[in-house]
Amino acid sequence: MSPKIAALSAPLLLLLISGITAQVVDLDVVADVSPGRAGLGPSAQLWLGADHLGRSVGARLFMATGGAVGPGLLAALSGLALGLPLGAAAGWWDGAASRAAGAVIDVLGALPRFVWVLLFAILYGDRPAWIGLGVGVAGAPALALALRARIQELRRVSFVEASMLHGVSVAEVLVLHLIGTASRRLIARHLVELFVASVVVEATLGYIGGFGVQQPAPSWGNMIAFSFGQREGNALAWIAPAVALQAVVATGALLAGAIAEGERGLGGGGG
Amino acid sequence: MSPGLARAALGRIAGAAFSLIGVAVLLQLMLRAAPGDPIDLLPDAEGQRAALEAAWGLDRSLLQVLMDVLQGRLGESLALRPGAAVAGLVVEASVASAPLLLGALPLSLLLAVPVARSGRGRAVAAALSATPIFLFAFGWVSLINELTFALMGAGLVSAPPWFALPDQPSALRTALAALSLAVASGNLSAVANHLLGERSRARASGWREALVARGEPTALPMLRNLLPGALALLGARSANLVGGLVVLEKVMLVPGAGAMLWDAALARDYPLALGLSLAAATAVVGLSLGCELGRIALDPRLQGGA
Repeated sequence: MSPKIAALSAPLLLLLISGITAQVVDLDVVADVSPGRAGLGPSAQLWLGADHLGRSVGARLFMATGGAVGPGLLAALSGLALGLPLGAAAGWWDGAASRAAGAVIDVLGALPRFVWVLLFAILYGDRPAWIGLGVGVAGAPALALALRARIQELRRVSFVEASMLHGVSVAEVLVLHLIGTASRRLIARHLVELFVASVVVEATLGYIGGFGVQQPAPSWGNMIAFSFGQREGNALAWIAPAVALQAVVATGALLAGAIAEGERGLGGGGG
Repeated sequence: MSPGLARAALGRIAGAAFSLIGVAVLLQLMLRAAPGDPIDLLPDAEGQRAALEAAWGLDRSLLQVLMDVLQGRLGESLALRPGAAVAGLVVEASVASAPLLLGALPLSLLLAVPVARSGRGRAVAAALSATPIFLFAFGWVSLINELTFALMGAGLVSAPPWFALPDQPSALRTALAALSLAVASGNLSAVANHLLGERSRARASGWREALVARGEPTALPMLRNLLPGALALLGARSANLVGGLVVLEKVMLVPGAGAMLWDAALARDYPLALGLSLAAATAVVGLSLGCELGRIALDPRLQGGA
């Protein structure tokens, strides 16, 4: 792993740890309304100050990661579970199998991410898991298409043909060499994109309201919507979640870019 | 139209139609897999189950429902506009969203060309494109609102005519929304990067050197060489554009299909939400098809049935 990729992975890892910790610690950020400290600026006790209801912005920012990380991980896993077999089938085989996988990719890719998420929410319930699954299903076609292109490019190269002639099974060549080794960077890039996309979707749902995490529970999106427009008080109450979200998105984009650079540096096939 | 172009176009249109039928089947399968029964939610409705199933179309087979969808019969809205035909509502909302969607598509190309041409502003374009679309729109709206309120507070201006109330149509708001969609959907950065890469490749090509040697202008041939690839990219990213529309219409209070889908989902209006989802898929497939046909028309090499 290059130092650049390691450095860019650190903030996302921090988010992951924060999200998991937020799930297990018992920090009350819902009922800690305190009119006495409403709108207070940053201090030693409240390091990001308090919102207009006197709730700690820092604590809410931290606890909100709990609601973002779970769907993010699920988005990455479900995108992988769907995109990998579709891309492999479309790329490795010719004929009916490839056409069928291609048709499924086209159908899944015809529905935008937010439409998937809204559909899952109304049909199966507005739960964080469905947000992650919606993002994962929406992102699977992009992974599948990239993987299909990579496998189609590699399946005629000499080491693959030599492996097949030596009796190595299709499953081993496909799973171990073409996916596990030659496409690992490509897959990692898509996983990062899916994770970040899910964090954005969760914040967007919270911001617009009606779906996702609703006030008084914290989400970065609903913190922005709830605190912006309060003329008096602590602007960090909406600036901090906006900056945190933008930082996650920017880090994700830079990390995906760095991984893609690595793919190109290895001639596309070394990914 | 050349036979090659017609053949290639027909192939793409057939593929798009097949995808849309696939989406219609998928939506119906998802609906059928959903837990619960709407009749269970009604008090004392068990005696009227058969009548309600017939009225709401719950007793129809998948094939029957698909035939209805193909004929444009999408049922009636249950909650958002009770009794109104979903097909009519979908068409009405889609017409309202069309300027935003069709404006954002060329706008992303128009904005990307100068960025790619000068090579400057790539970092800014990348940063803006990476911004979540709701945050981008929120920034625009807040900035304009705060500035206008400040100017009005200082007595420098009275309420400008374009400073529309949320329920009034506003050309400025639609234009800002189209701009936001072009940028924050990620299209600007993606197209600019693509054009920049392709331009370097085209600059080193033999045909350009021949044009330069003959003293002929290179700008138009370059554009014609770069456009097909950019159109392919825009077509591939059409789902980002349509998905962004859903968010943007809610954040910027633009009444259209995206905002209606959100409201239908909130109201658990299944027929309307499914109808609008199908419309979203039609928009994605249609934009993608339009870009693909444009690419084929511009690039004669693709007209041989590729």
